[in-house]
Amino acid sequence: MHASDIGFVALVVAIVAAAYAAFAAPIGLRQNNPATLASARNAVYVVTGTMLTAIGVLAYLLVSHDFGVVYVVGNSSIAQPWYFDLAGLYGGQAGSLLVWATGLAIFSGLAVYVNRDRLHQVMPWAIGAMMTVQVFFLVVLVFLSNPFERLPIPLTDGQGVNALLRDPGFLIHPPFLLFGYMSWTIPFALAIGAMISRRTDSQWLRAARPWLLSAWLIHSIGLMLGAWWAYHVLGWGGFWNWDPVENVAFLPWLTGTAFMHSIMVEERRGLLRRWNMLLILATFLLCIFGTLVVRGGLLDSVHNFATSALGPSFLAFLGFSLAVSLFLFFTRAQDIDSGRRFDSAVSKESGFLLNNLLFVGIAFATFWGTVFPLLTEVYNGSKITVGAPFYEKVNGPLFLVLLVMMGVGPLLAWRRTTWDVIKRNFRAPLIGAALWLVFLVAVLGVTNPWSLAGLTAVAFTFGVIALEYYRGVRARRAASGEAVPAALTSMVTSNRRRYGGYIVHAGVLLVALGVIGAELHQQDLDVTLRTGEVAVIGDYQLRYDGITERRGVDNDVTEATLTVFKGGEFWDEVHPRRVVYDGQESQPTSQIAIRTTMKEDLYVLLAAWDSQAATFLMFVNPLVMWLWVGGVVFLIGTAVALWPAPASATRPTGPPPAELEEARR
Amino acid sequence: MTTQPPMEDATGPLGWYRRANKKVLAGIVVIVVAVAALIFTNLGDALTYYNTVDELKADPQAVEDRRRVGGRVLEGSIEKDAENNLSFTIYHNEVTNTLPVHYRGVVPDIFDDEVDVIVEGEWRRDGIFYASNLIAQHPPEFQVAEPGSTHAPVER
Repeated sequence: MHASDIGFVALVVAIVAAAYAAFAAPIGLRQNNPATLASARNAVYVVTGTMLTAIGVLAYLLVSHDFGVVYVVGNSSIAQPWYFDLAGLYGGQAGSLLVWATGLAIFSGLAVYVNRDRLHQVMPWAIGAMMTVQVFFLVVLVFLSNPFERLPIPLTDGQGVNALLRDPGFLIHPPFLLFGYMSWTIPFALAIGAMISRRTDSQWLRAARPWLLSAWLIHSIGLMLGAWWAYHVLGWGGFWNWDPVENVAFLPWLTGTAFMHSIMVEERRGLLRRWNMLLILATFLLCIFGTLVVRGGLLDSVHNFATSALGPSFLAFLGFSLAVSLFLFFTRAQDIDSGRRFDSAVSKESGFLLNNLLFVGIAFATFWGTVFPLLTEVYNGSKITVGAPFYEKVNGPLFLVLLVMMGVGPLLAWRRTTWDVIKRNFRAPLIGAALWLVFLVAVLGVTNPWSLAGLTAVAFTFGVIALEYYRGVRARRAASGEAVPAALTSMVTSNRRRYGGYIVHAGVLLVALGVIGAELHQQDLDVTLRTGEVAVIGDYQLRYDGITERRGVDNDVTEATLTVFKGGEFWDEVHPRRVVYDGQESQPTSQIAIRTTMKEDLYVLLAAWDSQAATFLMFVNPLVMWLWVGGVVFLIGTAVALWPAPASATRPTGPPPAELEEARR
Repeated sequence: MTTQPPMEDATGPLGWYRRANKKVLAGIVVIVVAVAALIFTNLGDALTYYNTVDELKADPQAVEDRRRVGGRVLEGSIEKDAENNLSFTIYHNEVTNTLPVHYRGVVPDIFDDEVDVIVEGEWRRDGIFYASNLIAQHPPEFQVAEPGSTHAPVER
C-alpha cells in the first residue's frame, strides 16, 4: 500500500460522512431527534478530519517526492526548494480543488461547533447546504480530478511548479483566493438554512457575521496579493489587467462588499432584507462561477489553465445551486420581507442603498464584459474580446462616485437628514477638498480631469474620516477628561465596527491614490541600449553598464546592470534579471527591478539582449507604494472591526434597534 | 409613524411597490439607467474581433480595422532590427497562407518559432499587419504528464 492510498481512502470516507451529514441533519430536525442531530454534527467533524488527513498526505507526497503520483510529478521536483514543493499543493488543478474542499471542511467544522447550541431551526439545514457543496467537490476530486492517481511506473523526477509561479507572491496568493472563494459558502449556507426554516429575521445574520467578515478579509487579501504578484512578476508595468480570471475573482468581492454594507441597514432599520438575501446568494454563485472559469477553462485568458472535463460538472452544479437559491427565494419572498419602508430619500440608509447600487453596477459591468464574448460566440460564432478600456470607462466613474459616497455616508443620519445637518457637516471637508484641488492644479500642475476628480474625492473623504475621529475624541475628552491617546483608544474599542470601518475606508483611499497614480500618470519607455548609452524617463537617467550570466541552484540567471542618475547625480543601481529554470527552458521568467519611493516606482524589465545591446521596458509608476500601504491599513481596519470585544462592550443592554422597532409594530 | 401606510396596502404581490418610498424608487431607476447607459455606450468601442489568419484574409472588411489575430509563428521568420522592431510571419493551418506582422514593443518571454501567438493591431493595405500588442500563448500549464511521456526539456 502506498501513502497516496491513505489520501484516497480519506476522500472516500469524507464523501460518505458529508453525504450522511447532509441528510441526517434535516431529518434529525424533522423528527426532533437530538441523537440524529448530534450524529450529523459528528459526521461534519469526521469530514474535517478526513480532509485534513487527505491534504496532509498530499503535502507529504509532494515534499517527499513520491514520483509515482501523477500530481506530484506535475508539481514537485528534486531540485526546487521544499516550499515550492509544498506550494505545489495549489499549483495544479486537483490540488487546488482539494485546498478548496479542505478549507470548506475546516470552516464547516468550526461553524457547526460554534453554533452547536444555537440556531436550532436554521443550523440543520445550513449543515445540509454546506455538506452538499462538500459532496460536490469530493465527487469531483474522487472521480474527475484525483490528486492521488498513480502512474504504472514511477518516474525519477518531476517537473516542478510552473516557472511563472515561483515567486514569494505566488506562495501565498492562490491559497488566499481559494479560501476567499470557499469561505462565502458558510454565510450562504446559513442564508439557505434561514430560508428553508423560514427564520429570516436578523438571527441568522448575526450568526453569519464573523464568517462574512472573515470571508471578506480573506478574499480581500487574496485580491491584493494577486495584484502585488502581477505587478512584481508579470512585467507589464501594472497590477490589474481586467483579465477574465481577475474579473471573476473580483465579482464575489464586489457583491460581498455590497452585502457587508447593506446588512447594517437591515440590522439598524430592518430594511433591504430581500435585497440582502439576493446579494449573499449571488456572492456564493459567483464564487462557484469563478472556480468554474478558473478551473473549468470556461474562458480563455493569460491564466492559461488546462481545459478539462470539470467544466460541465461545475456548470451543472452552478445551475443546481442557482435553481435551489431562486426557488427558495421566491417561495419565501413574503417571509423575508420585513414590511418596512424608507422614511426619506436623504438618509444613511439611502446612502447605503446608493453604495449597493454602485457596487452591484460595477459587478454587473464586469460580469457583462467577461461573459459577453462567450454569448456572442454562442450566438453568431464570432470571437471578440472586451478590452480593458471598457472596464476603465465604466467602472472608473462608478468607483469615483463610491469614493465620494464613502465620505458622504458617515455624515448622513439614519431615517432622515436635514439640509442644515448636511451643510454643517460638509462645510469643512468641502473647503479642504477645494483648497487641495487648487493646490493640485496650481502647484503640482495636474491637468487630467479624472485624476483631479479622483484626488479631490480622496481628499474630501479623508477629511470626513479625520473629522469623525477628531469629533469623537473631543466629545470623549469633554465627557471623561481623558488624555488624547486614552480617549482615542476607548472610543475605538467602544465602537470597533464604526471606527475599524473608517480605518478600512482610509486604506481604500490609499489604494485609490495608487490606482490613480499608476493608471492615469504612468510613463513608459521601450528602449534598446548599447553598453554605456543612457535612457531618460521621468526624472531618471539610466545608463546601461552591461550584462552578466550566472548559474543558480536550479536555474540560469541573466542580469543587466543599469546605473540610475537623478538630476545628474548618482542615485542607485538596478538589476533586472531573466531566469530560466531547469526543465522549463521554454518559459523564461523575468525578475523585474522595482525601485520604490513614496513618490513613485521606477520599474525596469529586461526584455531582450544580445552581445551588443539590451532592450528594456521602463515605467515610472507614481504613488504605487500607497496601494500596498493601503492594503495593510485595510487589513488593520478589518482586524479592529473583527477583533472580539469584551462581552460587556459587544451589546449594549437591550435588543438592537431593528428588533425594538419590530416589537413596536 | 405617520408615514407608514395602512398594512393592507402593503401586502400582496405588489405590496412592495405601494409601500415603497417613491423618491427612493425614482433614484434607483435613475442610477440603474445611468449604469446601463454607461455599459452599453462603452461596450461597442471596446470590442475587438478575433480571427485566425485564414479568417482575416477571407474577410473583406478586415482591412484597416482593429483586430486580434491568432496564428503560429513560421519557423525562421523572426527578424529584429537594431531599433528593436520585430517582424515575423504567422500562419493558421497551412504554411502557404501566411500573414506578415510588424511589431514594436515588449516581446513575451516565450515568443519563438512555432509558438502560438495573438497579435492585436491593424491589417493595412500594404498587406502587413501592424501589431501594437503581442501575446504568446503558453503551452497548457498544469497539464499532467501522460504515463510514459517524459517532458524532456525543449531543444533549442
